[in-house]
Amino acid sequence: MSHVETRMTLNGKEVTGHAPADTTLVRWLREQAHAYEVKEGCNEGTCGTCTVLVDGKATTGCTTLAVQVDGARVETSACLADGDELSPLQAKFWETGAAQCGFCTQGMLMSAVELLRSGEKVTPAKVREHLHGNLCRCTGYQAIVNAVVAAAEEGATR
Amino acid sequence: MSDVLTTMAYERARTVPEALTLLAEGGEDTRPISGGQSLVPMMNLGLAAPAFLVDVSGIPALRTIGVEGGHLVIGAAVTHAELTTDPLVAEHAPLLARAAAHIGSQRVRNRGTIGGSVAHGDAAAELPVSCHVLEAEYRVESLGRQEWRPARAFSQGHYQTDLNQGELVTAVRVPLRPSHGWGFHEYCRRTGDFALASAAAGVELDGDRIKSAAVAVTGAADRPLRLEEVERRLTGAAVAEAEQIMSGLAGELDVADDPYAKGADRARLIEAMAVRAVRDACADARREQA
Amino acid sequence: MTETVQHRGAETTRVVNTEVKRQDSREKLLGKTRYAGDFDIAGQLYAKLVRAPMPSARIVSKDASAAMEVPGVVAVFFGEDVPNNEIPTNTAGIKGRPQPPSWVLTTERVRYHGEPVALVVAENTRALAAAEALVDIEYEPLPVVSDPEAALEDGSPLVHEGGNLLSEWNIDRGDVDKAFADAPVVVEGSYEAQVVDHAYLEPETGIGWLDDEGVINIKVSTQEIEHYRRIAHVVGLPDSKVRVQAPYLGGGFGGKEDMTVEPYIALAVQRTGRPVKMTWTRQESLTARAKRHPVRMRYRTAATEDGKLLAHDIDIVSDAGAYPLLSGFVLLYITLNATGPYRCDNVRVRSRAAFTNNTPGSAFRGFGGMQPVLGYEAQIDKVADATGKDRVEVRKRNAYKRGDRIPAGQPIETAVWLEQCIDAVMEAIGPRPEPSSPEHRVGLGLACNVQPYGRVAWMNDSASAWVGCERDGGVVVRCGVPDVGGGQVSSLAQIAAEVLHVPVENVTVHFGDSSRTPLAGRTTATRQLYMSGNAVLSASRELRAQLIEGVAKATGCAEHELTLAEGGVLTPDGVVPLPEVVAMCMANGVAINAMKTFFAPTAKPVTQLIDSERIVPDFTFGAHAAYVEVDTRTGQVRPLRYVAAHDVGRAINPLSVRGQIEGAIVQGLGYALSERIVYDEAVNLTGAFYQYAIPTAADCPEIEVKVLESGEGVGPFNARGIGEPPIGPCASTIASAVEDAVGARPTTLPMLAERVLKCVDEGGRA
Repeated sequence: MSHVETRMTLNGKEVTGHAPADTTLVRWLREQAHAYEVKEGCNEGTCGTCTVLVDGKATTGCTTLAVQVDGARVETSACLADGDELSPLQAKFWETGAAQCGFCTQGMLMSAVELLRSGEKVTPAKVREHLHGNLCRCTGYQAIVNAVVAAAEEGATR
Repeated sequence: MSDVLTTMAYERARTVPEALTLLAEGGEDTRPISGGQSLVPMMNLGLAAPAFLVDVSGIPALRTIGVEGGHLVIGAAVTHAELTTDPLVAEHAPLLARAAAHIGSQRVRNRGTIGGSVAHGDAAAELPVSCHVLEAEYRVESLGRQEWRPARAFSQGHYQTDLNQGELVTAVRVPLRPSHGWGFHEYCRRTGDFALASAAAGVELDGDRIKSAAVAVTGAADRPLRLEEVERRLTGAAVAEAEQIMSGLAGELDVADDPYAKGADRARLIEAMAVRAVRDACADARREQA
Repeated sequence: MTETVQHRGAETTRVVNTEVKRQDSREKLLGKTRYAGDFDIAGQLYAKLVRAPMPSARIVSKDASAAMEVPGVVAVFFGEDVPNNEIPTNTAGIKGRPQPPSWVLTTERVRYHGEPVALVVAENTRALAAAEALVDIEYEPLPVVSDPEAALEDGSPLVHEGGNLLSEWNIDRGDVDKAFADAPVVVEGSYEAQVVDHAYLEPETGIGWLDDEGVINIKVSTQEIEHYRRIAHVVGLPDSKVRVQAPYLGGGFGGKEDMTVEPYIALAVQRTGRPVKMTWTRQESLTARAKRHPVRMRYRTAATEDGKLLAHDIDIVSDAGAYPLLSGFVLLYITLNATGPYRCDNVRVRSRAAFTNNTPGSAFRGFGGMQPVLGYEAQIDKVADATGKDRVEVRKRNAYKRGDRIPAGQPIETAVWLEQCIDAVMEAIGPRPEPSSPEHRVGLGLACNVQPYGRVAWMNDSASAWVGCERDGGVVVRCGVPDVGGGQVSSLAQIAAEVLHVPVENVTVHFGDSSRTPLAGRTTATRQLYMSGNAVLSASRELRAQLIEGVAKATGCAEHELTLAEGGVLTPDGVVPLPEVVAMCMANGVAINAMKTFFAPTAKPVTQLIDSERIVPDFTFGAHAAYVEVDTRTGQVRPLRYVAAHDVGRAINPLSVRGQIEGAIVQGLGYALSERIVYDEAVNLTGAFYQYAIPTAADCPEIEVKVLESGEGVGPFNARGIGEPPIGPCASTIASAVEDAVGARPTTLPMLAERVLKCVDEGGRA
């Protein structure tokens, strides 16, 4: 079985892995880089659970091949916190109860970070529009929307 | 037996000639990939199993947007996200920007490309139906050949296009029609879904009358459908009569039933989308006039 | 966004009834939480099911030889390889009808699309996928039964030998025929609801291994660790030789209540001796995993001229799919809840569940309490309209009061705050928004519901918990409760912290381990707070008494002079810090831990004709209101604003309570508007997630929650269960609002565009 070497910068660190060329990014991150915080929910690009940032853009981990992002800068939620201290966005999620089962949370945070970094005006409607590609089955979204709006009000970008 | 476990090969092309060579020489089951937002899910679900992928998404020549001789020319690897924000697209082909904004969600639009969308041939997709109405053309290249093909003839059925093995869509060009107005509407059961019905419309006004109209819909057939009869009736009509002219369209469409929607129900949605797209196009054209 | 209305005289608490930011949420945000699929063991194998591609067939032959040739394939198992392939159906209390079993790997007959037929085990996932495709099974198609009413007719093909009637429940209270004969007002309606999927974001997954003591360990996303007994039976081992651990789940909602991957992992571990990992694909889960029971309901309701209910005559048929699983119990709940929160003295209910070749139905949040809401809320609105009464007034007029009996016979022993819930939402819903264009209409809807919490009484339900102190003053809780994401574990920490007067952060909870933590039963039926919460409460109180006893013995103070206070035990001479308290206990022969089992009240099982004073522990009542906008050209329904009020007795953690209500509402909106599994002659066509439309953030309105606290519930600190109740009223709230907007009410779910357009046409207001 032929493996391909792929390198990327993951949360600021260089990582290298060897995997078949048709390995999706989410599986590469979990299996090669041990980034278990990135979850896989559907393997068809529908649920958004595997969303990470590639060169700053929200990217579906299961509909992107790892080889396609060779050399790119990849960010997962592991880059947000400062050690054990929650980032401002994570702190808001914690306060509002936006993480219940937590399975959608990593992807949700990264899509929200894309929005916060964009400089666009953040209203509840804008949050809902931007996050509609991240499905959640537990929270009903209200707490998530509240958290992102509150984080934006404080000027948070992570 | 070992075929069963053969893994896929992958190469990133740096130029168009390189891509075309790889596609020509790669052997059976060689395919181009750009955003992968349609191809990779199919691979994951076992619906596609390419042996060799040629990645064209990074080729600089495929990522340009510019005005050339009466056309807006968009490189095939321009993403849907870029279509929604690019100022040239906003000015010269706002219909594409509007339609692209409906595609999936931000994460899909960040990677999906216009070339990928038109080559994929999804009958419900937003960009092909828009290209029909824009009377766009696609530049198709293969080793030693290059030609422009009209969007109208390109869609040939569910996931079927005019594209042959070894051929690559490298650009989309849209004639500049500064005085036209455009509209796009789609109906999804839920935000971000594939549309059950959608309509793209372009009109040119002469005062209060419609000088010309182009209306195309998805959901009625296995490819985008130009509503030629509707276009004929709209030509010369007063803007205020447009909705009236189009009412009853649902009854004229012969849409097949499928497990997810009855044909008659889908036809009704198509009519509603078409009416609204034309309405928006007229309002947009009025703004252009003013 | 949340307002709390409190019953006067509620006991003051320190930690309970405050918003506690959950410790597990923090870990999840940091990405540190390991779910069942995040574990890998060196040398692990992978397992995958081969599933039947058709809904009804005889298995003619099975041949694994080609699959075994694939490099990396270790084994292919069929049903004949399973020590005990038959999984008996739990029928506790369901008398009369023998229930057919389910199968680990079916051997002779296929009864539903996707039924497991073989298990492939391989060294890597590529070999697994290749081998799965090469297992050669020959099927002979058999006739298909796809409609439950047709299944109940004579001459229908049989899904199981004993006939297609899975179970029937009846209620017959008062004199229904006489009441109808005399009634001035009679209204009728037929209502239908669809099959929906749990759609938790975390797929079914687990990993198993054999430990040094020969125990098969399985770490699995499950709502019931007690399955270790069933798993042990399947592989022919003593119960004590199987251990199930449940890490935090990525959602359950009832879909992980029956076994999923467990028996397959156990079989593979047993036969190979190696660790085995199994994760179901989303696609196979959608195709074959048990779902919510669809129903067809016919209601006839009689009333007086001023809107008082006189009688109900209700007939319900449900499609149970190919195997019983928990259908008997779901149907019982459908029957119990058929008339809703309104008193009616003459009630006849006939509920039947039929076997078909569709996907088996089983537990799903609401568990049969959800489907009838569509019927009883529409009926009470019809009564209001027929009598010219206001819809709010008619509900209040007929609402239960404490002491009333439900038609099944049980009296309601706690306060009924239905009227307060209605008032709360009607006040909060605000003024009617303007429609966004002349092609749109706005409507207001209101619906109420009742949902039992806790398991049926004859289950002899119990939950155990152990609470103890560490020498450094920390508190440890050991309790088997699986945490599905709703804060089950966090609530236990809060309760222990409250009683022992320690900060919540100082309480560690070890949970979800069938051999290391006392068993607390499954996380379902809105029972965990009631059951394990009460167990922890009880154990904590016992420990508190022991700590006081220890200090009393050490200091010579009288016990009544001592109380737990911040940091330790307060004596007349000051606070003895907790570490010292622990030392005092240990020096004086007083235990520093306590274990208690909480037993729910029990009763005899009900008979098919239900008439019993004790069936469920208690009930939760609520009301929802919403504005929706209907697009009269497309039929699209967009909820604009949504308010919900439930009496939760006492909110242990208001943050969690609000989260449960908001989350349940969005699941309810999906049920109302967009979710459905589509079948074609029992072939499940909805095999991909993009085809299964759960609501996105952009489809949902802002939700406002009113948490009412009557102070009366049978859970710890007078709490009521809240996990399931809020999912009930949603579809009816939306249907009611659509009716207000366009003049006709949808009676079939989901309210797809084309169905709403028919209402627009019927209502004649477009």
